[in-house]
This record gives sequence, C-alpha cells and structure tokens, in this order.
Amino acid sequence: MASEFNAIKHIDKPLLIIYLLLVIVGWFNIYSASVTESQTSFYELSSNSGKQLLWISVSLVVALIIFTIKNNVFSQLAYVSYWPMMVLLAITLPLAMLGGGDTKGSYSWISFGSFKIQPAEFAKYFVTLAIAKCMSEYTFQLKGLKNYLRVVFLFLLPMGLIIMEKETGTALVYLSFILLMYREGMPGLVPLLAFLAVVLSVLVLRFSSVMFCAMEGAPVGLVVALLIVFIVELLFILHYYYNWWSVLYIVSAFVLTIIAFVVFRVVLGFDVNLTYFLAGLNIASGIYLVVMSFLRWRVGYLWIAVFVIVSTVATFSVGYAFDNVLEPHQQNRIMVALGMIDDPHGVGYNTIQSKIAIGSGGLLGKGFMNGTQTRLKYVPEQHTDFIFCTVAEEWGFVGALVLIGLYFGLMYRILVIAERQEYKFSRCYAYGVLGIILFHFIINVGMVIGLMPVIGIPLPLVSYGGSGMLGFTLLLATLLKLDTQREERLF
Amino acid sequence: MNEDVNKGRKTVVLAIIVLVPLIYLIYIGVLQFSGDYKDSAEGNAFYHKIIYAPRGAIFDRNNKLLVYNQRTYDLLVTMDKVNSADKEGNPIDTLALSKLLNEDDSVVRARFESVKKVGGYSPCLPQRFMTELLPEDYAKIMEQLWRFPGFSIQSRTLRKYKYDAAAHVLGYIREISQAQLNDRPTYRSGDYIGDTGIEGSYEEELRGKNGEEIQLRDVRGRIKGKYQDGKYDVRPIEGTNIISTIDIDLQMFAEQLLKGKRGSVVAIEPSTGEVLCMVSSPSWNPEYLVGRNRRTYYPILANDKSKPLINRAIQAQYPPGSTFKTLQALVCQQMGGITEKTLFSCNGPSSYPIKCTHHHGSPVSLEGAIEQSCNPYFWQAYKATIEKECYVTKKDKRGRTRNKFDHDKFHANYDRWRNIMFSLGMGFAFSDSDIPGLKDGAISSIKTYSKIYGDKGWKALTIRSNSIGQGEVLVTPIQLANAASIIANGGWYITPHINKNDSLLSHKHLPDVDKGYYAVVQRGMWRVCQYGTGRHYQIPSYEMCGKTGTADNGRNATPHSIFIGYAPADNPKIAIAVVIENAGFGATWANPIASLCMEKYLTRECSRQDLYDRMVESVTNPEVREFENKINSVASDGK
Repeated sequence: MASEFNAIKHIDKPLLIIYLLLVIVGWFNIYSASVTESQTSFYELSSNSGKQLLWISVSLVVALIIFTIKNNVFSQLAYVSYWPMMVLLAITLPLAMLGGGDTKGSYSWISFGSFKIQPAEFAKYFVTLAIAKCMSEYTFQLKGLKNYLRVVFLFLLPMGLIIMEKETGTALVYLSFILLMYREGMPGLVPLLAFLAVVLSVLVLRFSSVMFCAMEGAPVGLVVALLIVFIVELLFILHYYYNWWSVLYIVSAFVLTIIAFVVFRVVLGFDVNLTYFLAGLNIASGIYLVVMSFLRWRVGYLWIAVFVIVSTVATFSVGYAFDNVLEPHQQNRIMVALGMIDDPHGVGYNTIQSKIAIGSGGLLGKGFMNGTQTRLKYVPEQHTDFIFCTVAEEWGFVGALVLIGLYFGLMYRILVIAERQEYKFSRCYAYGVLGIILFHFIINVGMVIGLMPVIGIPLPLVSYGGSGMLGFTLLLATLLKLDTQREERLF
Repeated sequence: MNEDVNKGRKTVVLAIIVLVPLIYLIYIGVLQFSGDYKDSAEGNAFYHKIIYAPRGAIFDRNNKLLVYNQRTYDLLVTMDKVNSADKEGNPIDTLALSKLLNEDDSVVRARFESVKKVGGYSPCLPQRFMTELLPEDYAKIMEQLWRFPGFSIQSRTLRKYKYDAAAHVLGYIREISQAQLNDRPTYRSGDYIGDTGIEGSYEEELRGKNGEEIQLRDVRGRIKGKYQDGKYDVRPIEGTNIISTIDIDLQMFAEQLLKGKRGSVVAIEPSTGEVLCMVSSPSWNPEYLVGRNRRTYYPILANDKSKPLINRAIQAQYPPGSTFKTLQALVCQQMGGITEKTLFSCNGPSSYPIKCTHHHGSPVSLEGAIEQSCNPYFWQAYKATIEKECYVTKKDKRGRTRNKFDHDKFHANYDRWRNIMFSLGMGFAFSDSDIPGLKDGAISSIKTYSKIYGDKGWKALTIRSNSIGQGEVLVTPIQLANAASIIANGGWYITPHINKNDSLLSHKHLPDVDKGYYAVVQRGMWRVCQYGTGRHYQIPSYEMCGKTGTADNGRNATPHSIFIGYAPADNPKIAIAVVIENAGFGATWANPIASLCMEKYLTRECSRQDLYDRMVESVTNPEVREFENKINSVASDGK
C-alpha cells in the first residue's frame, strides 16, 4: 500500500494545483456569501463555511485514500460498485419521504442528524467508472444497437432514478456521457442532430408569437425552422451523394410551392397558411427521397427522408409538447431563459438579481465581503448554485476571468491527461469526467448569467455542498491516480 | 488494445472547451461594463434614511422664546415581527395594549388593519401605530414594551409654542402637499413645511439641512447596518433661529383687546419698519394646528363663519375712511391743489356734495380740517387738486371764447394723484416685505373709471368719495399702519417686516411727497388727539398723534371703526393702525384700543385698567365670541 502511494510523486501537478485553487476560491466565496453577523470564526461548524471546511477535509482524506488503491482495482470494482450505488439511489426516495421529507421539492437527500448527503451527486463517479469499464472491454466497439444500449442503459438507469427523486437538474448531467461516446466513435451526426433539435425547438418556442409577414397562423419561428429543415435536407443530399439533380428538383419544387402560395393567397384571396405549404413541401421532398432510395438502392436517401419527415412533424409538435409535457415551473424557466417573459418576482427573480449582482461588480468588483447584493441576500442560493455571482460581484470582471480561466485550465488539463492515457479504461474515464465538468460549467455559469434556464446544479468544487465536493474530488482524484500509470511503465 | 481511430475528435472537444468559456466571458464583460446594473444594485440595497435637522426656534424682539421644538414619541409597529411572534404562540395582547394606550380595544384592533393601508407599507419596516405619546404615557409604555413584540418607540420633534398668541404671525408647519412636492426636489413626502407667517417665509432658514444615513437593506427590507460604517453619511445642519420683530407682550395685549371683535391691530416701529405686533381677530392658540391637534381644530377654523384663518392685518381690504384724509392732505399739497394755508368753507351737515359730520367753524384751515375731520374741506381740496388747470378758456375758430374742461389734463392729474398715493404705500402690497400673503389695497385706475363712465364722462365730482377715503379706495391694515409710520417719520418708511435679523434698512422708501408738507399733517393729527375726535383717549404719559376713521361699508352695515396714529408725538416710537369691523365710530373702538396698545408698548404698562377691561369685555361682533366659546369648549373637552 505504501509503495502504491509512492505514485503520488508522479501526480499531474497542474491539475492538482487547479483543483486546490478552485477549492480555496470556492471556500472563501462561500464564506463571503453566507457569513452572518452572529458568526464569530471562519470554521465554526454550524456555519456554511465551517461545514464546507469539514467537507473539504473529508474529501482530501478520501483523495489520499484513493491514492493507496491499486490502479486495476478501479476497473475491477467498477461494476461491483455500480449496483450498490443504484440500490442506494433507488432507496433514497422512500428514505427521504419517510425521513425529513422534501428539501426544496426534491427527495434526493438522506439526512444523518444535521448532515445531509445527496447520493445523486457522487453516483456520477460510479456511473463514470462503470461506463468506462463497459467501453474499455476488449471486445467492445461502439457499433451496433446492442452495444449502444449497454452504454446508454448504464446512465439512463441512474437518470431515471434521479428524475423520480425530482432532481431533474442532476439527472440531466448524465447526458454529458454523450461527449465520451462521441470521442469513442459515436457518429458526429448524433450530437449534431441533437444540437439541431435544440436549435429548432428554441426557434419555434422563442418566436412563436411573432407572425411571419403578419400572416395569422404562421409564426416566424415555425417558418424559419421548416426552412432550416429544408436546407439541412439539401446539405445532406449534397454531402452524402453529391446529387445536384435531386437538389435542383427539390429547389424547383420549393419555388413552385411559393408561387402556388402567392397565387392562392394574393391572387385568389384564399386564407391559406404558409406553414402548411412549407410542411407539405418538406414531406413531399421526403417521399421523393424514399422513391430515390429504391431507384438508386441507397439506404441513405431513406434516412434523409426519415430526418425530413420526422423533423417537420416534430417542429409542428414542439409547441404542443412544451405546453403539455413540461411542468409549469419548467415552462417558466425556459421562457425566462429565452427572454420571452420577464418575471421579476417569480422565476425571473433569480436571474434578474444574479445579473444585477454580476453587473454591479464592474472591472475590479466591490471587494471581498463587500458585495452588497451578496451580503444582503438578494440572490437566492447564493452560496450553492449561484456562487458565481458572489465571485463576479466582489471580484469583478477580473475575478470572473480568473475563475473561468481556472475552469478552462481544469478542462484543458483533463483533456490533455485523457489523450495521453494508454489504457482505454483511463481514457474513457477521463472523458467521462470531462463531460460531467463541462456540462456543469455550461449549465451553471450559463444559468447565473441568464443565458440558460435555471437548472439547479452546482459549480464544480466551488459551490457549497458536501456531496458535490466529495463527488468531484472522487472523480478527479481517481483520474489523477489513474494518470500515474504512465510513469509505472518506466519501472 | 483497440486502435484509437477517433483521436482527431479531441479537436472538436477542445474547440468546445475553448469557445464556451470565451462566450461566457464576453457576455459577463457586457454585463459588467455596460453599467446598466450598477444603479439597480444600489437601489436594491441602499436605504437612504433621512436624519431630520432640528427646526430653528423663533424669538420675539426682546429675545423671548416664542416657538421651539419638543421631543415627542411615536409608537411604531413592525407587522412582520408581530406575525412571527403570533406564530410562535406569543400573540399581541390587544386588551393590555389598549389599556396601556388609554384607547378602546376596538380602536387598537382597527389600527392593526389601518397601518397596512398606509402608502409605502412594508411588513419589515416599522409603521406608525400611535403618534405623539404624552411624556407620561411614554414612560409607562417603555416599561411594558417587552410584552409587545414588534413594537418600538421612535422620537421626533414637534413645534411647541410658549404663548397662546400670534398664531397668524408665526404661521404653522404641516405635512407637505403633493403639489408643493412637485417643485421642491429637496423635500420628500411626509416632510413638514412651513405654511404662512414666519414659518412660511423663513422656511428655508428654519428648516436647516436634513442629513442622510445610508443603510444597507437586505432582500426582505430589513436594515442591516450602516454602509461603510457611515463614511458617506451626511450630518444634518440645524435650522437657523429667527428673531422676529414682534413684541410678544404687545401682541398678547392687543389680542386680548380684540376679544369678541373682528378686526386687526398692526403696530410698526417707524424708524425701522419693524412690525411690533400684527393681530388679526378672531385668532386661536397656535398649538391647535400642531400634529394630532390639527385634525380636530383645522376643520373648525376653516369652516367658521367668522373666518379666523384669514390674517385680516394683511389680507382684509377696508375703505380707510377719514384716516385717508391725512394722506389726502399730503398729496393735495404736493400737487399744489392746496397749501397749508388754504381755507375752505364748510356748511356743516348741509354741505354739498358731501356733508360734514362734525360741527366746527367755517372757513376751516387744513390743520383744523384734519382735527375736525371735515369732509367738505377734503372734497374741495381733492377737486382743487385733480381738476387743477382743467378749466380752460379757449378761442374757437370764430374768435369766441369758450370754457372747456381739459380731460387730458384731468386724467394726468388723477394719474399723478394715484401714483403719489402708491408711493405712500397705498394700492399694491409691499413687494419687498418678508411677510407672506400680503394682499393689495386698491385705488382705481383711469381705465376703470373710463370703462364705467366713458372717457370724458367723469370728473372729480364723480369720484368725490375718494376724497374722504370711501368709494373705490381700499387699504389693508398694514398699509394704514405704514401710512402712520410715514407721517411719524416725516416722509419716509422702511418696508414693514417681521424678521429682526434682516433689518431691511436698504429698503428705505421715499414717497413722492416733499418733506415740508408733513408738519401740518402731524400738527393736525396731534390736534385730533388733543381737541378733535380722538381727544377722549389720550395716553396719559405721552402725547400722541392720530386720526380716527368711520368707514361706511354697505347700506345697512355698521361702519368699520378705524384709527391710525403714532406716539410719542415728538419722537415716534410706535405707529399703529387699528380696524374693528362693523363696530361703529372710529373714536369709540379703534381709538381707545390704539391708545392702550401704544401706552403698553411705550410704558410696558396699562394705566387705564377700566378702559382696558371695558374694551376686553365688549363684544362688537357676536359671531366672534361664538367662535371663541366653541373652540375653547373643544379645547377643554380635549383635556
């Protein structure tokens, strides 16, 4: 064990330093954001900063313990530890319900006296290990439905369990394994299509009330989305088959459709809807592609046809899904993030107050413990999910620059480490960690500055919270430990 | 080991981890450097608490304190704390509270509801629950305060008055109105502002400068201490004390004399223009318009038919009656209509067109005419003055001589007469006085007369009433007092004012009457008090000069009793004007009151106690007595 621990000599120092800096920055800002008049010292255990200090110590001890573990143990225990973790997640809900009840509407906490742990936070660690293990198996290739399902199952299971605990934000983090899958060979088309789906949804929702050329029933968002689907269809045809003739036919069909619409609408005076014309055009071109796939005996045309038809139908149903599938508070959060509604006393309150806090920071900020918005508790959850506000208010743009720089450094370093791993397990694991941290960073900072909907997930290593601190420390310590293998080979 | 075919994809990942932080950083920069959010942050978090500057005190001319500030206590309630105490099973015992406050239980319960309806109500900030606790109540409540969570006591200052007098002169303070707020940026809603009197005209000096404490307020509106330990706080600057020109003893003395009468007394020190007293009756105790009292008394004052809120001394217009003859004598001499030697005949009551009300020899000189208040003399003097050189003989085209009335010359004469009257302080109110609310008197213009009678349709005869101070001539008591002051000074005056700190010496005015013309008027006024209409009420120890007036006002109304005068005759220290509305002869009421007041001022004593008592007890206007009784009974009920 002691000899195993010697590997600490080969620890990646930049990553270690960035880790420690983030923890320290986080702790000082938690102190500033949550200190009250009655608090007498930095480390008083009843205060948030005191508790966080305890969690940091626990995490460091755990990190040291990680370094005493042999490298192959991680992959050996990956599955073994995955299932107990799932069981823990599964029993959290009844435990939380029987115990203290909900914490801010979520049943994801188990309380031990005054301390509470959130299994969902460190479940990420075990899921990452399990997925890395699965994907690094000698025979595994990211091809075929069965293999995809194996991987996807590993993160959809905890996701489902956590959604049941009403902790949707944390559940969404598991989607970050898409990054790992992409790196390991999942076609780039998948994340691209996912991205396109998000863009189209946002377009349709955001511009649903403005009418295209003031025509009733033809919102700008829907019209533009349908046009994008049409253009992407043409790009696919060109990219995969370089078939200019098909493109020419489809574009002529488009021109004819527009002419027909103008004739019906303007010349004949019928009250026809532009969106139906465009949707009809898309479907018709889809059917044409189906025919093409049989004529040319190319399955790709069929897939493009499926894309066009599915996307067209989906853009039409986004509004319906938004109204009927999402819960009202989720709808509100999305509408606030999209700037569709300004709700300063409801969901928009957090975002407005956090923007005010950040905006009032200026270049150099108001100084440690001097942020008026922070000290006076204008921003809710300031020491947890909105901790970035405190940094930007009290340390200004410089503080924000440093913190974001640290995260960039963290992610870049993980990327570097990931790419230098010789074992696939280590590389997959590192990409898993990178995905999780990237996702947290994008959502959390985006939410605080008002570019993303309010989804309650913490800023890694900086936000207050023991489970999160422990979870991220486990992730990074294991990564650092696995990374020391590169030196082992020299002996 | 599988071959790593997808190594190139790390570039895409790298692009993501470079671009996302970069975009975020740019967006944060926009937020922080646009400056849009800085003010919102301060508006959120800074609470500018006003520290009220103590208002300046007001003293009388002998440095007697008239108005000062008294600490008073308000009971405040913070509903948030009350509610949370309620939740913890510690509800407010309203019964005990109402007992403590000497109020009915239902009143206290109603207060809990009504505090929530006050503008700017916040459950986290203390609201006024009960204002102006009496000092003895304050002690009692402080002792019991712990029993009522959420309640606190705040001190504030109230205007207090040493004397039950001079309400009109001092004015009062009240909460600023919305209309006033609009053009006074340094005031805030709920601030007090001086209204009328000294409080009104010296508002700026008395108010001082309010200070400001910047407090930090948290998201729920709770105060979390001072911003930067008070580094940016502004200390209040105390209001300046005002020493007024009023002699409070004289003021109170005169107010007593006017009990039961509608009218006013204005006394001026001729050499300085300082107003010694300015009484308008009916009046009230100035305490009645302070704080809580105001609600009770203001409606009474505003609605009473004797109209106590009008400051008659400066706002009521009266025909000056015979007192005007003194000025008439001056102007007629100045314009060359008469000299001091001019004699006119008087046919007594059968004179035409104005009869004489007194019996005296004929012909009569100017001095004698003043002494005897001879109407025919002043009519003839007025005619001689404004129609001077108006009757001309001209040769027409055929060489015949024609008598003609030169209307242009007449208009010019009238205009000159009017302008000299203006220079004697008649007509328009003093524009440079510090007394607020002065009303103009009136002397009609050529235009007015021409409109009524036609351009050439009027002559001296048409406007003959002017000659004896009736007709279209109207004056305010302070203008009359100032006229007395001009005569006392022998040809100049300083604008009447009420602030002794500002002597207004630069405001010395020289009327357009040569100084040589005053002596005869002074002698005439001396004779009035020696042998004439005012002979009964000489000041025992000093010689005084004066002129009575009995001003008709309407067909069936009792005339106003008016007197102007000054004393001592050789070295005037006080000039006075007294008007008692609808009381009768000037010699019966105004004259004795003026005489008593001047004696009081000169000797600090009252040697004619019988006269004083008679004057105090006489009621010339029953509705004033009615008002006095009413307000006294309300006051005694209140206690």
